[in-house]
Amino acid sequence: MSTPSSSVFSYRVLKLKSSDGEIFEVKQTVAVQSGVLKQMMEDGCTEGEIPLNNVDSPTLAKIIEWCNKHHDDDVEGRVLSQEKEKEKEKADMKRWESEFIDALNRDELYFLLIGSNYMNIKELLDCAAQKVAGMVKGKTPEAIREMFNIQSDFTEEEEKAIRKENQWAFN
Amino acid sequence: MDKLEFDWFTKYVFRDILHLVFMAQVQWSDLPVEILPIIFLKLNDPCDVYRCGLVCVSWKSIVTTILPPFLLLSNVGKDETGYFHFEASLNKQSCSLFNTQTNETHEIFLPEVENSPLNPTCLVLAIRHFKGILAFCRPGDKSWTFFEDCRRCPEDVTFYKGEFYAVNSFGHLFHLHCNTPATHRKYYVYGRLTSCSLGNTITWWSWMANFYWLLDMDMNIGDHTSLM
Repeated sequence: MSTPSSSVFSYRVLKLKSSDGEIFEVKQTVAVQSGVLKQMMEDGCTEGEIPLNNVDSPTLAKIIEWCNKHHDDDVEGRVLSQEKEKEKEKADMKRWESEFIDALNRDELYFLLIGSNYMNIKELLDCAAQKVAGMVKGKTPEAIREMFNIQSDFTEEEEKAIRKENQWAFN
Repeated sequence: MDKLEFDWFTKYVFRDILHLVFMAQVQWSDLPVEILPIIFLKLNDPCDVYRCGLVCVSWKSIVTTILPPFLLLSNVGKDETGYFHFEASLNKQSCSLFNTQTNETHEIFLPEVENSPLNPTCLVLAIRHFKGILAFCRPGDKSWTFFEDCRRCPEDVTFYKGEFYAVNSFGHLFHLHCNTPATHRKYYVYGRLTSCSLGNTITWWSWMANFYWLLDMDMNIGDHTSLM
């Protein structure tokens, strides 16, 4: 049987199990950024390993890296006194976010979208979606298909009609 | 292969192979439908959203739900860069609306304007209801000129004998001096339209003709009918 102190300790760290079976330990204060995990904590069902069937280990590692960075520092008792300092921190965070997202390849970005959506981490999902929007912007449908390796599944007639009616939207 | 070696193999090599196989199956067209609108709504240009709808069937199904039903076109065609280009055509008496659902273009005919916007003395006065801001601009201006005191919530403006007047929901009537230097450009309060002031000041009546429908809608102006 666990002593009260060890049960408190185990309560404060969540064990997340990726789809390929790897275990990641995450502090509760960090995991709370995930809407799904937060709900589970509130419902008190975070004992043992929490299987995340839609998230593989490289993606989960990335997601945890993000959450650790965005972990609310005030919880730790650190309070930023200066307004200037806060602004600087904000700008640093923005830069970190864009570097984090830009470093991903397309497949990693895809899995991050799926993972952050599955775990309901809104900020990360927004950031990844913004990146995809930036990639799509100003591109023709053909270029978008090529970039994401998407096969057109329109019928030939549909495709023809689209091209004929909407020359302005192409090219 | 002893156990330790096998564990190492399963833990790292096998996992990476699995991951590579998994990665090869990335299908962006299979992106969950709840993620697609989050991406598309981050595109500021509706033309970009429209083009996304031409990528594949699943993307189109989402685009049709978020795209405004009509896009405003000044002319249907392409400029030299190949992109649709919006330009305000001052001489044209119509505008084109492109229906994004049916891919049809509709032409809307605009009413005649009395004073051409190309006339250098032309002045456009605009009222922004959300914040009650009044501003004007003339041909050649690079930005709007705002009236300094914007807190009076103008409800409507009218043009009468060469001057602009505004009325707010409290019944204040303002003479808008658009030609005075910027430092003095303020609302000039003419008075308050109440049943009392109406009764005492018969000169309001000529303005009343212009404001009548507005007052009737927004304010209780008492026994103004007795003036008639």
